[in-house]
Amino acid sequence: MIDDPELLSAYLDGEVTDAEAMRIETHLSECPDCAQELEGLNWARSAVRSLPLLAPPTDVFDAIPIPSAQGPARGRFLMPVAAAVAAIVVIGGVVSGVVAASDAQEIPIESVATQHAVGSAGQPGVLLVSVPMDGIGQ
Amino acid sequence: MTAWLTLIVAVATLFAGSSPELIELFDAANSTDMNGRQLSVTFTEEGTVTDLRRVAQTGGMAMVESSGGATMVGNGVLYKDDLTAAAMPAAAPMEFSDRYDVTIEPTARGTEASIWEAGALRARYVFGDDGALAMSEVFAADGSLFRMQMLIPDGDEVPGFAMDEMPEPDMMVEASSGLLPAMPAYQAGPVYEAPAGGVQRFYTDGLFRFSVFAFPVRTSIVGMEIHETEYDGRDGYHRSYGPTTTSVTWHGADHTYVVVGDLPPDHLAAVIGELPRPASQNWFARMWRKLFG
Repeated sequence: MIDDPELLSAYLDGEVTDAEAMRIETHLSECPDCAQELEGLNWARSAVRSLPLLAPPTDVFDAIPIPSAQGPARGRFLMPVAAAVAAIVVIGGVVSGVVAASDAQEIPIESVATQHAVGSAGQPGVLLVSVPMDGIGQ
Repeated sequence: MTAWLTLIVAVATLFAGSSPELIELFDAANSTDMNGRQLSVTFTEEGTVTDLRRVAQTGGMAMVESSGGATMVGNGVLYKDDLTAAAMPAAAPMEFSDRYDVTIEPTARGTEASIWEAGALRARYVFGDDGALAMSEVFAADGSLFRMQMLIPDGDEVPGFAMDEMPEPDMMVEASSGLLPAMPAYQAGPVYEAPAGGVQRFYTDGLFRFSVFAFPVRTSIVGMEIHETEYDGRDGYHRSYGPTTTSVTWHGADHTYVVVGDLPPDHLAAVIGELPRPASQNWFARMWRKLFG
């Protein structure tokens, strides 16, 4: 699978380099999942773009409240609804942020550097140069 | 006659690809007892990174001391502060890449081994008369000096290492994962388990060494000063230069990736180009723009 979904989208829009395009096309010829995803993206874009542009009914403008200094009654009625929607959005965002934060984990660079140094220790080279010590024991 | 002999000796010996002579110099440097300080300087577009630390070497083991403790390496094992030890399962040593040519010649500084890539000087090692590595240099693609390391001897007294008091090493565990790809320019080891559910793969071309890690996507790498940067015109990468290694981390669509190693900038960029790219932060916004034109 292509790891970056943006890459397929960029490919579809011709916004990738020739080398990237060649690599993607090679991958698409071997990966039915990505080929199917590309087909889906292409279909969705074509479908939305092919929708006809419709003129709104004239009375729709009458339904839109016109702001005034006093504030129309309809506007006062809509205010709590808008506030409730905004509150739901904010609360949803906070909840999803909390959930995301609970999934997050932090790894110190020290443990990453150490594991890399273990790999270097088993290979030819001058130990004091080829085995990195950055971040280890700090 | 003497002049001819001198000329013959002075002419650099050229070895294409794998160089047993260079490996012999490495082995001799590793078996030489020494005690001193190691100066490392890396020149980057973000500034110069320097480091000076105590080092010692005896019996094929090397020790580095920093303010945070001591690390000892040798025989494929790494010990930290006498408390922990880790090793990869024994594997055949990886070969020196055929893309490098090696010249070895005696100079006033000692025995100099120069490593050439496509006709350009990529690295140089200077070995002293005692066999110890006196200096190493790595050059960027434009010929500028990227990293320099110098060993400053500090007397003949070499501390002994109490190896019998060292803990048994924990062997790294192989993992079955297709996340980390093979790279044509480098030899790759097996994939190993890494902390926090990640995986690691070690790569080398005999001259440079790096590891690629893939962690679950919500993983953040902490404890290093990072700079936002871009590769191949794409942003989302965070890079940190250390005195001997460079670390780059980014969040892909499904995983968080880390590359850590001693690669010069052009090699590092090529390696990153082989890996999944950073996921766009505003992918939905981009999709909306794409769909509605």
